[in-house]
Amino acid sequence: MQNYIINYWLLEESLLFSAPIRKNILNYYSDYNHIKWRHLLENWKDLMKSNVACPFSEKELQDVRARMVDQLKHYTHENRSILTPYSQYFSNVLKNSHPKVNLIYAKGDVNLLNSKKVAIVGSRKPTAYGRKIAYDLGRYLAQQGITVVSGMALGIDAQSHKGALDGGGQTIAVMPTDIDTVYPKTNIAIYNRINSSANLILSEYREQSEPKHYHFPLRNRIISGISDLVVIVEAGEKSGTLITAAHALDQGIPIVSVPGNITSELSKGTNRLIFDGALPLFNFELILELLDVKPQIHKRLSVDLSESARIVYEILLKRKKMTLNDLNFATCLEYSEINAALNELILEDLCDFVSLDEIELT
Amino acid sequence: MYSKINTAVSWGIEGLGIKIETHILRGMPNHILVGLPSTVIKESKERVRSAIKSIGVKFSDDRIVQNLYPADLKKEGSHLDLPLAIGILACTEVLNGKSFDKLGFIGELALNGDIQPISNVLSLIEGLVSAGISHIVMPYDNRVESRFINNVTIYPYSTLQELVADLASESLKKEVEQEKYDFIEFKRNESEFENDYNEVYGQGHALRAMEIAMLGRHNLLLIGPPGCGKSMIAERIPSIMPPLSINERIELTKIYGVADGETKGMIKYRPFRSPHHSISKIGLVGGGMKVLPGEISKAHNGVLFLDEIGEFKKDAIESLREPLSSGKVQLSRGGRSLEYPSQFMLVATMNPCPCGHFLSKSGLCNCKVQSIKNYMGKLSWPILDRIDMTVLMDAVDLSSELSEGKSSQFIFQRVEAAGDFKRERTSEKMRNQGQQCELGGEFLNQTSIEIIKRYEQKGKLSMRSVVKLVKIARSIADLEQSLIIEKKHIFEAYTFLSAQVMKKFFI
Repeated sequence: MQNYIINYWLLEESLLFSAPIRKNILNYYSDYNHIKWRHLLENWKDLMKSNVACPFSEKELQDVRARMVDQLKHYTHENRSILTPYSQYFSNVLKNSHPKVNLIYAKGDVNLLNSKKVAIVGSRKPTAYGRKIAYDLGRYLAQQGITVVSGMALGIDAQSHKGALDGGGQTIAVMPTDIDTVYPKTNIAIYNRINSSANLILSEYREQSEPKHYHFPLRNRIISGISDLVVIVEAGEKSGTLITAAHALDQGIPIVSVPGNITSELSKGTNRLIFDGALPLFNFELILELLDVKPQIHKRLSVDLSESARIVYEILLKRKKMTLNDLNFATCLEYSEINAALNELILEDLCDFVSLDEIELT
Repeated sequence: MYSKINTAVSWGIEGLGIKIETHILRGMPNHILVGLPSTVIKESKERVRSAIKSIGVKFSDDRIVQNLYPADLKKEGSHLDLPLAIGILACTEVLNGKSFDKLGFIGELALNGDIQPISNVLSLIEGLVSAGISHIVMPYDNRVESRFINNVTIYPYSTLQELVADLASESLKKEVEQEKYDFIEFKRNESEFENDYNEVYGQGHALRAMEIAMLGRHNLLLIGPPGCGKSMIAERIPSIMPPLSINERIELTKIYGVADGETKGMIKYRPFRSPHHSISKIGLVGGGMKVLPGEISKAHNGVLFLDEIGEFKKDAIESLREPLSSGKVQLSRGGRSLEYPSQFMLVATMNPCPCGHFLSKSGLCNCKVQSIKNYMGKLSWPILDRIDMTVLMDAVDLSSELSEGKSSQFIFQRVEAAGDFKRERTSEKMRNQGQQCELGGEFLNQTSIEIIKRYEQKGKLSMRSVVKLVKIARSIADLEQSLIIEKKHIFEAYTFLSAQVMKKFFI
């Protein structure tokens, strides 16, 4: 494992070989794990089929290698780790992705990769509808114990992470940068929330830098590759989100698409996916069915509530979703009491506002 | 021949005693006014000449010079007609030799010699009083207002002829004393309000918010989709406003007196001003050539209602910052610097997004995040900070069943009773009773403090929001006539920090 990582770093990053030479070496040894450097140096001219000598001496190579071993500590201390295709967390799908995934840097709880995972992806500039679906779905899945995977971009990605965190669940963010750079910067709050709890941040990249434009589509193959299911919430007709869908298709991951208004620009891509054979997300329970997960029964009440809060909670248990007017009529409580009761319940995370005057059980 | 007459001019909403000197000299017939008179006062010459002629007195053929002292103060107002005329007459044989040192004169003249009512009588009387003049001759039609000021003797006259005759015989007629307080008491009359809150269908939580805001004079923002009843609820505010006290009525009448001929007579009701959103900054806060009070001062002690606050000019809204926190506005222009009171309660409405349906049950909103952010961004944080309560409203589903709405009369009485309780509570005697924990100068019990701490831990409250929360909770406790802020009051108050709710839906 350590060998694999160090050889990868040496060959791909440190020694500055040209691309054909790198390819030659890898072809000969078939895998990073099996590269024998001494053997390579001795048989350099034969292997390369040329008369040019190797630009490195064995001594130089040993020095660089020693430095690499040092650096390895930085990427594996505390909650950090590096995943290779030999790791138990590396799924077959990920191994066979194209382009090949060689290394993944991780920060957080890698055991999440063995849980049931659903990717939620979509536009960076979603409509209110898309935002709401992403948040609600993230929250719903989190409450059902399913891990939400996304890319921490603006819009749908951020909403789904946020929903999962608000729902008390776990989430995996796959970054287009390295695991320590927040991108985009405006998502710092979400990054911190993911970073500080039992979640997971993944990235293919080691160096701290701004993401390159080609990082984004490459990142998408990891999002789909580690998930059991991909949900596309909103996408324009030619958008990056559809690249994720294409990767999922390649990798054989089922795609669920959120149907939308046919006049909305951002639903054109998702509606087209349904036409092309993706399953339409007509309700959230569909996902549980596809993953073969049993829905969890609502948690029992364990806190002390005031009289009026109890009345409101009991009626909400029956009706699930109610407006303030409905509550007033159904409970015969004054609005002052209803408002006080609701905030008491919201503070205990038993219900929350879902629109301007509607309350729903969480 | 020389005379000196006392009168007053207004300076902001205050009055300032001035003197009019008249000198009739030998020379070419002429009438000269000096001492920075405005155009209105320059035109007085013609009214004065006609009025004097029409009461059968010969207008002097000599050179008349009149000086308004102090000469470096700009003077405004048609109420100087009467003192100017008396000044001239005092130099002629009609009133020759009489001394008017103890008397003050204000009033406008008609060409036929009638004394016309004027605006802004209260400030002028106060100006004279502060200059040491307590006997005042003034238009008969203004006598009602003058009753609100104590320790002055009023001589109301309706024609110059009568006045001159009585001055000549030194037998001025006083205001009849026993009438003095009859007009002051003013009863609320239900039938005077066109609209009633029982006409509002649903939206009980918004009515509740109105009740709380009205008691604590909290600034209020109603957010909701078009047609959900925001304006309907705001327009019914006059029907639940508590009555004005005498001092408040005097102050308001003075403000309206300055603001260009708005009203003659006393103000009866708390003002409810709803300027259109095309209003300029000057129209809103005051100023202009004459440095007149703006809508915020006209809404002093009352409500300033800004419908669709997002549509107002940005600079107009931003100019509300200082008045909202200090309750007054200092205006400077052309060497004049005036201060007008402006303790208004701001009630505003807006949609949650450009199309108006964001977060609505109807689900019609197709706006993108950035456009919603831009729309909400029209209200800057400093302004939002000064708005204590936010109420989110959604259109009422007409098919749902609703409880009956409360009537304005009911809400009004509750606010009245709570207002009495509040006054009693803030008096010294009650101050030390039931004391438990103090936060922001108010008393809370231990569980309330714990709730606030839990909100803080959840990251749902900033320090400033805590102050707002306690303020609102205090008003809610007052409505229940409770000395201590309890847990349920905090919980209910939290509803009105709905900026928190809105924030949840944004990243």
